[in-house]
Amino acid sequence: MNRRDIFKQDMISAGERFADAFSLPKDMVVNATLFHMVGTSELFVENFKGIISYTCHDIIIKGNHVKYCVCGDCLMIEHYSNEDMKISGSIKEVKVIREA
Amino acid sequence: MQNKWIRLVRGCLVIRLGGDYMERFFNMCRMHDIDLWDIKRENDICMCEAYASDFLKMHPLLKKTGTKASVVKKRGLPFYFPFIKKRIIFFAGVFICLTMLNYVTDYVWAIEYVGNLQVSDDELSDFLEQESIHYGMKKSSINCEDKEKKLRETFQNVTWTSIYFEGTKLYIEIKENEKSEPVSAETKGTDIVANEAGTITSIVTRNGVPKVKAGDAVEKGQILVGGGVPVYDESQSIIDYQIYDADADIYIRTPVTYQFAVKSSYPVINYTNNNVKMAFAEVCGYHIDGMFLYDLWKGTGEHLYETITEKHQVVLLDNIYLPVYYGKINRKEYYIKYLTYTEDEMKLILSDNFEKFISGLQEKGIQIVEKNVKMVQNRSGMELYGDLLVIKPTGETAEITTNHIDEE
Repeated sequence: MNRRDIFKQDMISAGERFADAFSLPKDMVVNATLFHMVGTSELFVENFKGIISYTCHDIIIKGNHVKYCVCGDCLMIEHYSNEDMKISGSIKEVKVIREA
Repeated sequence: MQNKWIRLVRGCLVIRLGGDYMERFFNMCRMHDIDLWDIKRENDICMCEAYASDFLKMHPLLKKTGTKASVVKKRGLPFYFPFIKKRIIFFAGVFICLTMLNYVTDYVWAIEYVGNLQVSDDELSDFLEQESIHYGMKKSSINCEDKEKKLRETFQNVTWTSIYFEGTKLYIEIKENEKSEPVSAETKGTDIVANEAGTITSIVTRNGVPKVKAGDAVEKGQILVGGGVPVYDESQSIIDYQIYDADADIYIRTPVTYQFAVKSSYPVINYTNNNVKMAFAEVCGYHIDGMFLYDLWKGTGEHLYETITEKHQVVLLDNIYLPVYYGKINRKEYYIKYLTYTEDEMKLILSDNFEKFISGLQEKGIQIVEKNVKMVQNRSGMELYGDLLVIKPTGETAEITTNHIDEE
């Protein structure tokens, strides 16, 4: 981990502390991606940067300095807009892929 | 996320996408505010949906990402317009029909009275006429609460009223006092006076002071029972009167005359077989039928017709009465032929009528003491004169006049 990454990490944790202190939504303060899952069949994603890859079995979503992988079967993007997206299908796993 | 209905109103396309950089295409769509939904990967191709208006915006993005797009299906209202355009008259008709329906439902086209037993429908109709409530008037111009109050004021035995609309029908619902006559707190006192001149045969007084006795001859309007009962002091002089409603059973012997005439010639209606049955319609007071054309075709003469009209009002959903009527007219042609009664027939008719008169009197409890009947034949026909002497109940109530008490 170089100095730049350490600085970024520190900034994120500082942002989290700030959000905690002032009861502000963390996703807005630290620009984090928000996942909202309903059972195992629906997943709402907000505050993301885009899709990196999309197949029936996995969708890789680009967040802020991090990637997320939604794994499952028969995955379908029910809605895809500037603000949010909705993934439906049989979701098995949501993984965080940290950028090296 | 937008509602399915909004998508259908705006119009959407089902698009098939193919290429190596479809994810990039999706992201670029996102950046250019192009909404996509139902994105489904099927091997190398991808199916998705987008607004029709956004499809043109996609063109440079497709070019940039090397994605091939083809429209599979079109959905929504904008794609329905050509279909509507071809059938514009039908849709205009539907629209005009709905507009007319909306217009006519603002008016009253039927009135029904509910719960009236003592107050007749005619009386209520007269009341509505006085209040200028009639068929074809605007519903909004009727102030129901005000009319309810006036209805209660007009009819004393009405205890509760409700005027309301159901569709285009105006309901006048009332509840009446079960006691037919209101009990007055204070009695003003009444006498019983003779209805007709004659001789009193019996008098049984329940309330009041009898002024006549059996065998007395009385004139019409003469007091038979007085409602003022005198109060005497110790010296037997009247000091006051107690006022009552006089009540008594009084029978009077009085003459009754009867007269009935029969004309020797009488009309008889004879129907020809020239019957016409025809349907008709009536819209907003305009009567439409083909009778005029029929007469024109057949040629009109001076004929007499009996017309039976069967009329039905058009009702939608049980409550929306429209100013449209339909039905059938049955017109029968007839002519009048004058026949002549024989003497025996005239006698029979006169005696039958007299018998009916007698049985009518007996049903009313009137005893017939004497009867003299005479039949006279004249040029025009025959007449029956009857002089009867009957014993019948008499007496009608009349208010006590103060003069009458003072005289006593």
